[in-house]
Amino acid sequence: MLPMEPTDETLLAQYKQGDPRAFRALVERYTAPLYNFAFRLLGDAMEAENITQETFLRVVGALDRIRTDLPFKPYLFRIALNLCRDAGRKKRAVSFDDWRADSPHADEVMLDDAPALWEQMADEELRAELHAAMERLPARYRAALTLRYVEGFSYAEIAQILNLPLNTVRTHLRRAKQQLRTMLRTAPPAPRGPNDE
Amino acid sequence: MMSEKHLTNEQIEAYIEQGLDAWAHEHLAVCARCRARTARAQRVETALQTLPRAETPRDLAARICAVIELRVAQEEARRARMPLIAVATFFSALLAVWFGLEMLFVLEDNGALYFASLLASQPELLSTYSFDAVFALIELLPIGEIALTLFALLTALILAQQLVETARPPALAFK
Ligand SMILES: [Zn+2]
Repeated sequence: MLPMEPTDETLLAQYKQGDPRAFRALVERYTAPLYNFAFRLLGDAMEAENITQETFLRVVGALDRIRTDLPFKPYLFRIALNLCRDAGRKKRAVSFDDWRADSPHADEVMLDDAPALWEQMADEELRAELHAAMERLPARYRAALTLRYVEGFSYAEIAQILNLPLNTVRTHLRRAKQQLRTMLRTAPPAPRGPNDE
Repeated sequence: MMSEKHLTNEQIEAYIEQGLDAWAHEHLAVCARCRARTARAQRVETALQTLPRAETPRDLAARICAVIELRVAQEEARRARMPLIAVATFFSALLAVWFGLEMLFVLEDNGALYFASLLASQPELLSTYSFDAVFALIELLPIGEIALTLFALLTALILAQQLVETARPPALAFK
């Protein structure tokens, strides 16, 4: 038999039956993803640590109510997202208020064929530039991009986590990428470039 | 502008996501400009797919496990304490009632209650008896029973308070 990693739901069920190692395995599995997610959204390492811990505490606190027949990972990120929203609201630095709004010029059919600075960049460099550009995106776009590309969630799962219609998720992702390309094209590899949020 | 309409950015995203769209495909075959745009979009797509996670503090998972295990242990201890405190509260209350009744019986027996009610209904008696009356009343008091009643009552109150605190809904959720 192949040594198979137990699924999240199996681990959760085992924990519910009183096996503390099962929860430790879940914490080890999801600490890095949750930390990354919170850090991308809030840009604050301490806050990201707190939110990661609090997310797991919430799970333990709600253990009796959690269903093991539903996917665990989206549930986990949903908790983390809500905690990030609360933290962002408190800090007022990260605005989630425009969560559903679309920027007015997002639909512009601008041909993005100006010579791009990043075309000569090595992949490594491009990724660094992307990171920097992502920090300047609205929080809702950052959330969608991180969930999609770093965590590999499906559109349906992202819709569930963000509590948005599927089509809105699709639009968010496309616009996020368009904005990223615009930023990459217009922003030289400098601390801050023009920002048309 | 070329004679034919170029692909919109939206269409390029859709093309990268879902692949073949007959019209887009045809246009890309003839338009170098849109081909270059598509290639750039594809490169961003690929770069996004290989985006690394932020570096996690090394011991974060271990620390979180420790915090959770501590909270769970506290929670279990709390639950284990509950029945004991409940029983203790019940018996202290019972003792308080028992000693209280005993005290009443004694007061009834030795006439202190009657004497006190007499003084209450006719306050002028107090001046005639003056100090003697007060001393007489104090002498009649069953100090032992009173002390025991108060002590049991106090214990019951403190235990009840603990019981309420322990029975509170789990404080696992916020710090
Ligand atoms: Zn074209």
